[in-house]
Amino acid sequence: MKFLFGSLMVYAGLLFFVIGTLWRLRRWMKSEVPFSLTLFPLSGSTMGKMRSLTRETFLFSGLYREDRSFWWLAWLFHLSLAVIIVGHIVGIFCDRQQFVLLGATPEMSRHLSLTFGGIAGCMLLVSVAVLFIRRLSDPMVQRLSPPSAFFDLVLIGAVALSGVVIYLPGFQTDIGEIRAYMRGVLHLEPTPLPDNPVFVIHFSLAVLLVLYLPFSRMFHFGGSFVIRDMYYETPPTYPSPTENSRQGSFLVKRLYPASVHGGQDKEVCP
Amino acid sequence: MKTPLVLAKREDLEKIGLSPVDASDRKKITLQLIDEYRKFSRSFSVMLETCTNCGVCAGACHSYQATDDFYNIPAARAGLLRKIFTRYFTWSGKFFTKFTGATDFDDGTLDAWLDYFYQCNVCRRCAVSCPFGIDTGEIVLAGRNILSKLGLAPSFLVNIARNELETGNNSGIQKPAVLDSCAFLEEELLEETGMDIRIPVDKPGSEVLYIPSSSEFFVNVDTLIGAAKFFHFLGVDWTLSSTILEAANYGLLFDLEVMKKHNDRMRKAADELGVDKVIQGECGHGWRAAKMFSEGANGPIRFSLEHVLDFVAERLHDLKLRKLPMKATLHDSCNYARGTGLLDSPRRIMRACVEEFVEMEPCRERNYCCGGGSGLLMDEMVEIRMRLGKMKADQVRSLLPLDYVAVPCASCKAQMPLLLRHYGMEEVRVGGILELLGDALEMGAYGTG
Repeated sequence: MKFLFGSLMVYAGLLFFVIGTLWRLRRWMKSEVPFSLTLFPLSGSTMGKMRSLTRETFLFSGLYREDRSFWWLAWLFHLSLAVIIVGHIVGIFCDRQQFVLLGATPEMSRHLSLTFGGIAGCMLLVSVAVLFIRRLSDPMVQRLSPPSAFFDLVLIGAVALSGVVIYLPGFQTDIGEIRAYMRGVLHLEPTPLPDNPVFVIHFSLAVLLVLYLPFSRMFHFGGSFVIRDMYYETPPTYPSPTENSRQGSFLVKRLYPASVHGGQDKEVCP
Repeated sequence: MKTPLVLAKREDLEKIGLSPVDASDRKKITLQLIDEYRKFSRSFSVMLETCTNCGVCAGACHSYQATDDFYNIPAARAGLLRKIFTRYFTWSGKFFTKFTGATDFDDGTLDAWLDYFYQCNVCRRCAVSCPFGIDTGEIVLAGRNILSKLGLAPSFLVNIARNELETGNNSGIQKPAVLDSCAFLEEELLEETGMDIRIPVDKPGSEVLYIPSSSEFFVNVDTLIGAAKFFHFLGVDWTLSSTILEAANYGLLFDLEVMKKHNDRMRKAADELGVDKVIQGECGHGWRAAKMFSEGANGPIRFSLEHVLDFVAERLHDLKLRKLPMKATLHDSCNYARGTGLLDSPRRIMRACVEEFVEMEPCRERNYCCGGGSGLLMDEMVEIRMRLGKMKADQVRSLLPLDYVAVPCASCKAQMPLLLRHYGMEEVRVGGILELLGDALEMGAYGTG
């Protein structure tokens, strides 16, 4: 039972994540972009656009300019999240020997891995708490926020908290056993779920987060790329080039067929 | 806050192809219209579904800053549509309605849309500030289009659209009146310069079709005079077309079908006159409709299409200008700065035309709207408009003493003088960039006429 539960859960979660992500993107992408929505100023060169996209994606450059204190919060939150995700995958795959590749001794590598993981975990926990407090204490942001916005933060916070607690001295966790289990999962050779209750909570919540993510507002990272893709479009030039000019259904079709709004469909004022 | 909008009556709506929907059908049809719109435009659902309600846009929006009304926060404004969209078009909203912040469509839904979608100037400043780039203007325009199809549209916009569809200009000017005005302006030009400077109308075989704003025939005449002097100086073979005397395209602001038809007029006029080049005059949203929207709405364009300010800036070295002794600043129209990327040409021209050019703070893509954008120029909106323009008025005040605010957009030209009077700065002159150019041009110098 435990065997079935642990392995099924994790693969179902990942499958949900992949399908959900593709479904969300597909839902957006199947609609046309009828007009050029380029947001200026825009670098004309591909390199310039790449630079701008990189700055936005990794440094949140727009937010940095707009609201410095919130930038620190949002950026550190996402940075610690990224470090933890990468750290989990790399750390489990390499059994914490990843820093050996950079010249460290196996003992040092284990130590570094633990230290970075610990720092990132605490950073995540603190930043998610501050994000939650910000949402609650700023009356404007609170009024803007639906319950789901608080739930998302609580869920991330719970995953982070349970993850940090595993390492606390009082919990006597056998990290080796957990890592062995996770390696089995990653290598598609699952073994029974370890008995540790804190780990079971951490693991279940993390899977819940992963499968819920594509269907929540936490999918904003996907949306932001779809939006930038529209904004970075090279504006039209005239006379229109003979090929590659915009082809949309609005060219041949009315936006609303008369059947929808019941209004007249005849041409007024030629 | 409530907007005192005067809505169009059935007979006026029908003249532009719209018709009111029975109150009992409103919910059903609204949902159908939302469904059509989300299929029509990708920006609609992706922008609604990407917002995390972080509140950064509140600080960027002049409308919220000046009115302090919660629903003028871009995220809350879009939220008015988002909660209906979430409720009826997403699984999460259907099954976890409260949790996702979704609400049922009710009697107040459309009233709130009317109030708040018409307190947004569609300036796109929120798109620049949003960490994900969400443009609430896109949601507002979608909402206005949906309202229009429900027969809920401001009388002001509907009447202008009717004029545009019937005559090709907002004021409804017919050809004889155009000829009269141009003859009068030509006399003025003769008196001022001693030169025979023409303002040709429907001149076949011309090289360039110039599309001004119809307000330049009565109110902002100095802009048209500036253009005439400039074309004359360079010997450009140009003409106006009596079938399209309006760069503005109000359809963009409430009914895309109307926008499409007005864009089509531009093509027909260019074809009839056989011109290879169309130059658009000083109008912000009109330039966006022509440059950014016409290819998607009307197909490829066979002629070259340029904004008059770009056209002038490219030819600055051919002009003989004397710098006017004044301190002047530039108001970046939203549709130039963020909408079409017309950022450098206005500055180059102004630097060449005035002794002291100063920038507003902030400027360029971070500039604030004057409060007159997106078709809110109706009389009943004056009070709200003055509030919407508060950030702009503060910007101008910080530059005092100042002689001139250049507003190269017809909507800004209608709003800015009222705004400066309202905030006690009536001594500052407001006008176009072509107007400055016309004053700065030394017509006698190398004049070809």
